[in-house]
Amino acid sequence: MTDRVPATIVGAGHTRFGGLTEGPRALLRSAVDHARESVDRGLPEGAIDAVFLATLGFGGWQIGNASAVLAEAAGAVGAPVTRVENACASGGYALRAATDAVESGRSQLALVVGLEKMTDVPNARRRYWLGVSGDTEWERLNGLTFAGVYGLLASRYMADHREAREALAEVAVKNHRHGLSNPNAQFRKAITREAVLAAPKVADPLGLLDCCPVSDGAAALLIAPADAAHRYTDTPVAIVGTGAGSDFLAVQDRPDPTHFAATRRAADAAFRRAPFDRRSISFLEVHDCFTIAELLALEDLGFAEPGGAIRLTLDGSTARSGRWPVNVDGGLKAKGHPIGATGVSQAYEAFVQLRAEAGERQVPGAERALLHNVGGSGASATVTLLARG
Amino acid sequence: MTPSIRAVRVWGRLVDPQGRPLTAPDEDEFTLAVAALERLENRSEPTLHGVGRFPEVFRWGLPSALGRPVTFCEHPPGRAGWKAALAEIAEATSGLSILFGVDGPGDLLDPQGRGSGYGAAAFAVESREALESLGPLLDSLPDDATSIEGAGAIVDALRRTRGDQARLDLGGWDPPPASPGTADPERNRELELLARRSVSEGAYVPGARYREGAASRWRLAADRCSRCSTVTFPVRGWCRGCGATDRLTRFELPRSGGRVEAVTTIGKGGQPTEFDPLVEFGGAYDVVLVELAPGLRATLMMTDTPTGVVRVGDRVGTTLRRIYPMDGEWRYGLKAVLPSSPGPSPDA
Repeated sequence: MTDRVPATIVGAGHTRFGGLTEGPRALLRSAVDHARESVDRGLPEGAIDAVFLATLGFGGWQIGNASAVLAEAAGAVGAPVTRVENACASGGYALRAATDAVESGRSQLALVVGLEKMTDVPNARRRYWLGVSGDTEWERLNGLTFAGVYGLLASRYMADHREAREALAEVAVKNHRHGLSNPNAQFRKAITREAVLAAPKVADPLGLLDCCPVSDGAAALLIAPADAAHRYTDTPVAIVGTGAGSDFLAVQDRPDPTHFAATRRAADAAFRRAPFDRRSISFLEVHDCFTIAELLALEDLGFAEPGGAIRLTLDGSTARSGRWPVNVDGGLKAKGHPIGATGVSQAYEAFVQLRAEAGERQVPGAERALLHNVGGSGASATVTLLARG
Repeated sequence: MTPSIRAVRVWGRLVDPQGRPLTAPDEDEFTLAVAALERLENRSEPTLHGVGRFPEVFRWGLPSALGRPVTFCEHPPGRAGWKAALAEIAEATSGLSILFGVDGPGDLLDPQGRGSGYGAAAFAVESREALESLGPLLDSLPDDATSIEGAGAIVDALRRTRGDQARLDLGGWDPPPASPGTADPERNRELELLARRSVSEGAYVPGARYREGAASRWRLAADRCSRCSTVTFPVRGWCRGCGATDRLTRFELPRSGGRVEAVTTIGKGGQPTEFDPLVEFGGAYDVVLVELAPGLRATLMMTDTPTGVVRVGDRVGTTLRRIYPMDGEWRYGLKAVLPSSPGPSPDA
């Protein structure tokens, strides 16, 4: 790997997340424009030589060849555009693919864009799409969408560990509190544990407030080799480790159905490459599509023993002021979860945090970030480690 | 004449004359036929014969569900049809035969149809002579009787005249299952119409793949590898341990079920769209992750049990039921039941 050049993020953009009037084209354009504007020394015309699009294609809008739509919206018609689809981990995988392209020397400036437009389809079509990335035959066609699959995991976790239900509720409370200071967040509204526990059940034990919302939004990153980063900015963010893993699609087929081996593999691979270990992480962006997912993530990423995420959550360790701030942008839970955009959005947050540009949600002294993106119920996962440049 | 009709048992449940529900929302003539025939099947190597007209699913589905061939006598139901079928079956077989009839949505949707719900009736006959002796029992059957009424008439007559163990649930009603839902005839008709209009879009399990999956989804088929001893369930065509494709021996995990590892209750709005008719007619439902054998798991819906009752650690059994409609037909699969649940109880 000695001939590989480290990759850095030199620009990042983000739209608001939520139920938006803008369509997919406008969202793509907006995220890319914002990323361009974020480049301190500006972006020369024609500099982008590789583009990666992360999207599930929610609702069936432009099922095939959506890459061409992005090429036009990004003003990069002619550049190769690669579409990456790994369900909710599409963004993380697109970021990884772009990192590889830059590190290998094939790309001198890669654009990564994640997009999903979920709220402009009728309810029935939306619910149809919400389950297409799980195991079709044994999970979906036994009545489960992802809420149901995570409901199964939560029931097992609660049977195994005390105070689990309180910790699940606290994940939602904490992430909503974090979302208050994120202008892009879908929900900027504090909630209480009581409200979480009293919310209508979607997939018991998970209620409505244990679930991330349905969202529109896009996010974009510009990635350059470290030795060219100074052309764009004095404060790039270094991509110091990437890891990815896969697992059996159906939870029932996994040796241990209550933990995500794909997350463990991704984290181990990322830390193997990084010049630092878990203890020096300043904050984490983890994939909290459901409250149970944040607890499992902390354990599978190696920050807690099985069941240990309960204490970290209840004692405030995962709050912005805690030892391991988790989802300081509100997470999927409060910021929103436009599927393909999520992994890219996590990197956007790390970009602004590590450049100390996060304003009132800034994590003091943030130096190193861990990003964790999961596809569906754990069939795919990525972990990306970033550091102040 | 020595009675050579042994262990005659009939099983079936319909909507009663007052419209009271007698089938669970996920039972129909197919699942009832499977249940009835499985009850009679703990005997050696019978031949199976369906009498009457049968929906398409019976032709491939019944052999898949039972693991043995089934012949169908496509005579019109009623007296003449049943008599012709008896003669035909007597001609073709000599050993133990199981005959069955069903009634279901085919009749339900037909304005001229006589059926008012779903049912299946079956009985076992030990010899050709015994089969031939059944003909006169049908003399009082109307010529437009349904398939199940033919079977029922035979069993009723046998019970009256020979004191056999026969029992037909057309009049001796079991209590309705405890699961939510309804078998109200009007609602059944609506549900059936809804199912027939169901059209899949995008990702789904095509019919061919569904039928391919029936071995594992209906009978818990698994493959044991003779090279590495790994058991692969559901079957994949290769060994999950070592990848071998030529060292696999097919067997079936016990359908007596296993232990609940995880459970969720899907409330209204949490279900995939394919399950909308079920939720509309039956409300919330439970789904469990069941450990069938060490390290081998199945995701199964619960049935015949109110939601929120089953817990992690409980033991559950399995039963074949309707799961969801797709492309205009019902799809079936095993569901989990608590052993104590007041589900189908055919023979008292």
